[in-house]
Amino acid sequence: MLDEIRNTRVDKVILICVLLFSLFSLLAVYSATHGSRVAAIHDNFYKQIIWVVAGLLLFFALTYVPLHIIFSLAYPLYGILLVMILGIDLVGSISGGAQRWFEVGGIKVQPSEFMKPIVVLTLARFLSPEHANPNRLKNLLIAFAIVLAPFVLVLKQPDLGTSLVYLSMVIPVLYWRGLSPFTIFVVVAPLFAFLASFNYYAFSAVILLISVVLYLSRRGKRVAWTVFVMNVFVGTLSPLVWSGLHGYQQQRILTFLGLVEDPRGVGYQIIQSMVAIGSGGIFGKGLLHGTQTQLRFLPAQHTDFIFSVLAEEWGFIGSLAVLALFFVFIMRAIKIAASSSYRFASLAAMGMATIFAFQAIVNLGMTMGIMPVTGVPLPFISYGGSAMLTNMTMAALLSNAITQRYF
Amino acid sequence: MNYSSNRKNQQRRDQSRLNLYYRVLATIVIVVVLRLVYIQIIVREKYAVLAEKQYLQEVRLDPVRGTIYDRRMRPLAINVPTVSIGVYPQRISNPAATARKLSRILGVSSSTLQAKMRRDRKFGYLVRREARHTGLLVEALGLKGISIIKENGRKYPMGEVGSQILGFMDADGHGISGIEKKLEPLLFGVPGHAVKHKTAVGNQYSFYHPDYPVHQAEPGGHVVLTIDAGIQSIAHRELRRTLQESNADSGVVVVMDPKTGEVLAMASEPGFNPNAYGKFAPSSYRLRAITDQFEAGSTFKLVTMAGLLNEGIYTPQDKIFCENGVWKVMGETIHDVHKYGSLSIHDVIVKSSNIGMAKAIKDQDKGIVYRYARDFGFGTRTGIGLEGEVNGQLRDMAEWSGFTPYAMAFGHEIAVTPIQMANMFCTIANGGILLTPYLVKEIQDAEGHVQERFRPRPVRRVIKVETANILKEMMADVVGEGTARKAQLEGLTVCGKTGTARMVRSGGGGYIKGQYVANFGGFFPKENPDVAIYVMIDNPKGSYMGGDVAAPCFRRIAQQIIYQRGVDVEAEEGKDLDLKFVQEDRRIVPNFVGFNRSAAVQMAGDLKIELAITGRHGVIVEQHPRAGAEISIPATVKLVCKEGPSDEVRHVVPRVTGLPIRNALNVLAAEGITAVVNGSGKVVSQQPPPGRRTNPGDQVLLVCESSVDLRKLLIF
Repeated sequence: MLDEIRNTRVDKVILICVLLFSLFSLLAVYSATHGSRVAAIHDNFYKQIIWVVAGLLLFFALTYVPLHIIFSLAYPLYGILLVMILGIDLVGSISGGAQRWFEVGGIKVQPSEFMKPIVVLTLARFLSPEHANPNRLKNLLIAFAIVLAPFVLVLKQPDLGTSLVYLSMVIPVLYWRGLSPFTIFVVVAPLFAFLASFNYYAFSAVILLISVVLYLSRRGKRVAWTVFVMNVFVGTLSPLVWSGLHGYQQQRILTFLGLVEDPRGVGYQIIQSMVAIGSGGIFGKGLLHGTQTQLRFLPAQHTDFIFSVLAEEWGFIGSLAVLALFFVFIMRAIKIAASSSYRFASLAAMGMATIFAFQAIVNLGMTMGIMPVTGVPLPFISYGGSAMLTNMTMAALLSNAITQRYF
Repeated sequence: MNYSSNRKNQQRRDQSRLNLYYRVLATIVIVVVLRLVYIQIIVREKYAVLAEKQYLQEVRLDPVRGTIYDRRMRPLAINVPTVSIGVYPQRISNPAATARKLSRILGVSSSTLQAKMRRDRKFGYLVRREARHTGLLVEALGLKGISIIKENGRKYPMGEVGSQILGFMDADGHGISGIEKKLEPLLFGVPGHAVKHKTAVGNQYSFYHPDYPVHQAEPGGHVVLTIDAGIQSIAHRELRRTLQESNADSGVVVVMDPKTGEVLAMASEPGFNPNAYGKFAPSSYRLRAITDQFEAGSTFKLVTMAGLLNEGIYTPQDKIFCENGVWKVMGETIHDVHKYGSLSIHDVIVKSSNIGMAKAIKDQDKGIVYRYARDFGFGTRTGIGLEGEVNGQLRDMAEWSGFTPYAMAFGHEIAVTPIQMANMFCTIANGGILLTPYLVKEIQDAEGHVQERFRPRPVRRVIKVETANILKEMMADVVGEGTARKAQLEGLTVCGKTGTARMVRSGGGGYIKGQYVANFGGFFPKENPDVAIYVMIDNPKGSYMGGDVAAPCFRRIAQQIIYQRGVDVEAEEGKDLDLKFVQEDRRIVPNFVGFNRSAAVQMAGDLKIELAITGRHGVIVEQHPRAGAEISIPATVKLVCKEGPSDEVRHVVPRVTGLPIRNALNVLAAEGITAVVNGSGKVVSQQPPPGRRTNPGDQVLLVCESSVDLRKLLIF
C-alpha cells in the first residue's frame, strides 16, 4: 500500500485534509466577519480567500521541490530568518512597541511564522547524520541552541505563543532521533524543580521523586549526584533570585508568562468562548446564526477563537468533525514520520506533526477553558496569511516526505 | 554524507517510541473530546441560558408622553427626542482616556465622569436627556463600553411662562410637580415591552427579536388647560416688571374668567425655567397663588360689605361717622390713613376707611362677618385641583376675641390665598355665584379626541345680584375716583379694590414687622365682566400701598389682555376705546418667536394677519416686523421657522440688543440658550456678544434699560 502511495506525487490523505481545512476556514471566517460593519474585519474574508488559494498553489508547487534541495536550504533559510527576526526585535525595541511583522507592499509578513518549518528542518538536518547522537552532551546542546535562538528572539517580541511552538517540538524530535528517556528526565527535571520551588512541600516532593528516579536509573554516582545537586541548586536559588527582583519586574514576568490575569480581560474571553461553544449544543445554531458570534460577544472570532464560531454554529457534530480532521491529519503526519525512508524527512515530519498537534491542542484547549490564553491560532482554520502559507508549506513537506523516493 | 539508514531496521527500533506518540496523542484527544462532550452536551443548557442572558434583553418601551396645551391649543409642554449617554464601566479599559474624550463633548468635568465609571457597577448614566447631536458626537468617538440611549425628553417651549402650573419632570420621565404630577397617569400612557437582540459592540446593532411579540406602548393623553399662554406670558412679564420697579420680594397674578371660573393665567415671580429647573431656587417652583397665605387687608372689606348689604342692613347712602382717623374699640385702636368725618357706606369702600368698616358692624350680628367670609370660600381650599393648595385661615367664632370681628371687617385676623381672593372678585363680577376655579379644560386621548370636557362648577350663590351690582358701583368709584385710580383703563369702566396688609409669618404667630403685602383685585367691563385680575405684591420697598404698586400692574396686564382679546370687549356707549387693536385696520404685532408653526398660524389667524413662513419644522426664530410694532392690515409678517437647536453642535449667540426683554429671551430660547436677565425693558447689552459660540449650559447675561445691582441678582 505504501508503494502505491509513493507512486503518486501528492499524499492523498494530506491533500484531502488540506482541502477540507480550507473549506472549514473559509466558512468559519465568513461567518465571523460578514456581519461586521468594520471594513477592516469585513474584508478579512476576501483576504482569506486569497490566502487559501495562494496557500494551495504553494502546496502544489512545493511538491515539485526535491527533498535534497530543501535539505540544503534549511541552514541558509534558518540564518536569514533569524536575522530578520533579530531585525524586527531591534526595530521594535527602538520604536518601543511590540513588533512581530514587517510590511512588504502593504502585506504584513511575519517571519516568526515561517520560522516554524525552518527550525524543524534545521533541527532535522542537524540530527540526520549517523554520528549526530542526541545523547551526547555536545549534540544535545547544539540541538537546543538551534531551537532556543529563535525561541528567545520571538519571546522578546513578545510573542509567547509562537515561541512556545518552536519549543514544543524539540523533545519529541530528539526522542524520535533516539534521545534516551533518562536524558529527557535530566533536561526536564530542573523545570519541575523551578516550578515547585515556591512551595516547600511541593519542592520536597519533587526532589524526592528526582532522587527515586535517579536511584532506579542505576547511572553512575557522579552523574546521579550532579543531577541531584543541580536540581536542589535550581530549587533553592530561584526563590532567592525572585525575591531579589523589584516588584514591577516580578509583575512584568508574571504578566509575560500569562500567570496573572491580563488587563484586557482574558477571563472574559474564555467565558465568552465557552458560552459560544456550550450554547451551540449538539446540532449547533446553524451557519451564520450563532448568536454569540453574530452579535459579537465572542472575542477575536476570526483569529484565535475561530473554533468557537464553528462549535457554536455547527454544534457538537461540527466540533467533532473538526477534531476528527485534525486527528486524521496528525496521525497521518506521524505515520509519514514512521514510514519515511530518510532520517531527515522522518525527523522533519515528526517535528511538523508535533507543531500541528501542539498548536491545535493549545488553541482548542484555550477555547474550551482548559489551557491558558497564549495567542496560538488554530492551524489552517484561523484567519491569517503568514500562518496559512506556513501551514501549507508544512503540509507539502509532509507529503514530500512520503512521496519522494530519492533526493 | 549519509543521511539515510535501512528503513526496516529503523522501523523496528522505533516501533516502541512510535507507540508513545500515538498514546500521548490519543490521550489528549480523549481529554479534548470529553471536555467538548461536557460543554456542548452535558451542561449546554447552562451556557444556552448564559448566552440568552447576554443577547436577549427585555426592554420597556417608554410611551410618548402627552402634550399639555393652552386653551387655544398652543403647546406648553412637548416631547422632544433626546439621548442619554450610558456607561458599562467593566467594558472600559482606560476610564481616564474615555472620560477625557467625553468631557469635551458633554461639558462635564472628566473627573466627574470618571467617578461614574466605577468598576463595581454594571451600568450607569453619564448624562440624561441631552440634545440629539450629543449622541452623534459621542457615537463618532466609537468608544467601547459607552452606549447612546434614545429617550423622550420634555421641553417647555414657553420657558418660564406658566412654569409653576406645568411643573417639571424627574430624571426618569415622571412629573414631580404641577400638572405634570397631577395628571401623571394620563400624560404618561402605558409602557410597552419587547425583547431585544443585543450585541456586544453597541446599541446601534440591536434589533427586536423576531420570536417575541412586541407590545407597543400606548401614548399618553393630552391635556388642554384653561390657561391662555398669551395672557400668562403678559402676567409674567408685567409681574416681573412690577417686582423690579418696586423692589419687591415676590408676587402673584391670577387672571380668571368670572363667568366660568376658568383660570386664564396664574403667575408667580420670581419664576423658573422648567427646561433647566436645577438652576433655580426651589422657592421659585412654588405656585404661590395657591400655596402662600397672607392677610388681605382692605380688599377683604368687600366681603364684610357684601354681607352687610346682602342682609339689607345698610344702603350705600347710609352715613357713618369715621371718628377723624382714630377709634378705640374692645381695647384696641383703629387708624385710618386719611382722617375722615362722616362718610357714606359707599365712600367707606371708595376711600377705604378702616374705622368706617369697623363701626358698620359694631351693632350688628357678628356672625355676618364669619358667614360671608366662609361663603365666599375663605378658610377652605378652592378645589382648583393642584397639590399644595392651602386653606388659608378663618378662625371659628368660638375662638374669636372681642376685637376679631372688627379686625376682620377691614381684612385683618384672616389669612387668605391669592386664588381665594381672585375667586371672590369673580363672585362679585358674575353677580354673586361662587364657582370652583379650574385649570383643566379638556382631556384628550392620544389621537386628540376629547375624552372629558370640564364645565363650570357653581358652589353656591353667595350674594344677590342686586348686592353685587351695588358693590360694582362702589368698586367702579374706587378705580374712578378712589384709591385705585392707577388701575383705570380708557374707554371702559374698571371695578376694583386695593389693599395693603401685613405678611403672615409662615407657620403662624403674627406678622412680619415692616413687611407689607400690596394687593389689588378688579374686573372689567363693569356691566358684563369678562376678565378678573388679582395682583399681589409681597414686600415692596418704597410705597407699599396697593393702589401705588399693584394697581398699575393690573392696568398694564388689563391693557394687553384687551389687545389680545379685544373682540370680547365693547366700549361703553358714547365712549371710544383708545385701544389700537380694536381699530379695524390697526394691529399690534404679537410675538411669534418661540412658538411653533401651527401656534403662530393660529395666533395670526385670530388677528387676521397674513404670514409668510420660511422653513417647515421647529419653532419660529425670527420675525419681521418685530413684536409690539404697529401695522395696518392687510399686512404680512415674515417668520423664519427653524428646526430646534438640538441638531447643531454649538449654539451661536444671536444679536438681541435693542429687543424688548421678552423677545430677546424668546430668540435665545429658540437657540437653546438660557439667559440671566438684569433689569427690564429693552436689552442694552449682552454678554457674550453676538456670533460667539456657546458651550452647552452656558447662559447669556442680558443687561436691560433699568437694571439693578448685579450682586442682588446672583442670590438666586
